[in-house]
Amino acid sequence: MKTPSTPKPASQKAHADAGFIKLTEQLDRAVDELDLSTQLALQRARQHALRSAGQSRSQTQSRAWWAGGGLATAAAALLLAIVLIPGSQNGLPTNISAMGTPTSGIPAMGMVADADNGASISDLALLAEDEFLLLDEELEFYAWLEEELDSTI
Amino acid sequence: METMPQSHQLMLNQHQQSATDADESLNDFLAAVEKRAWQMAWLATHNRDDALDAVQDSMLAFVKKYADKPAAERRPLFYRILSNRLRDYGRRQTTRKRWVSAWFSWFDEDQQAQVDWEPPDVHGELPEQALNNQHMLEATEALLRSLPSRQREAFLLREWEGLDVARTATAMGVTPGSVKTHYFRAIQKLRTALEDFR
Repeated sequence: MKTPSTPKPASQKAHADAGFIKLTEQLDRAVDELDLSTQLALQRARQHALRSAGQSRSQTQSRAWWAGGGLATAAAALLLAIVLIPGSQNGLPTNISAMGTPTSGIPAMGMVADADNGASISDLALLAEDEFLLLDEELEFYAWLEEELDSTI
Repeated sequence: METMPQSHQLMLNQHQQSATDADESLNDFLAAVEKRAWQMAWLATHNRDDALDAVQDSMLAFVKKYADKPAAERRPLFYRILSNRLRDYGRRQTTRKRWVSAWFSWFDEDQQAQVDWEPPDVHGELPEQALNNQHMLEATEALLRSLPSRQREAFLLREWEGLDVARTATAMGVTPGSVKTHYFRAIQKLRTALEDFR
């Protein structure tokens, strides 16, 4: 169990506070008289830290340059794509004519169909396959069934 | 070879100048705190190399994290990092000592202390005077080392480094109330010890 500490007289307290000043003076003296090897080691540590700060700063800058450059290149490529590729302006699929949709009324689609002729031929071959015809029949059947249900309700 | 446009050159020069100014400012700050930081680390570790490592690590962490901070905020932040390093060091030492004492009960700390001891740097003082000064310094260090680490830290930051309560709290990573408690306990113990010296 702790015993309650007795209050010290003011003179003793003042003496002790003067002791604090002496303590800090001793510490100041220790710092002033620090041996040369420690001083040099501290100097080296400081220079090392500053060098690493410089390196990290230049790395950050180069990263910013690369990010900026990449962004500019991407923007330029996107602009080029919009200007040079006509189909992308409407956002329509380029092989829309191959799906059996009439394109005569839409000149841009006709152009796209001509430009993408190779792809259209392969799409036509796909549409002519038996599997696609079966699927088409099924779709017709489901449409009819829906109409029937609507009429009964 | 293509030459750089004048405007770009000007921007580059301005940037380099600001980087140099920042480095100079950081250099001045670190030069101002490094010896005191070492003294605090020395009091906490009682090992020259460990104290140097703690200060160097603190400098590296400081320039990476807080290099852009205004001058008024730098000191408590630097001591905060140092304080964390020294606390980690204390924890590692405690664990290591526990293991060492468990496995090698014959481990002699006095022998270890003898290996670490270096003769004092007298700087041209008379041998008697140097001895007295050295004894005073050793007594001071022993007295401060006898305090618990948080109390010693609070005393050094408040009394020696001259930080106010709020900045000491930032440096120690505790509340201002906690700083007051640690500081009060430290000065109570030191007053008693200094009375005994009398």
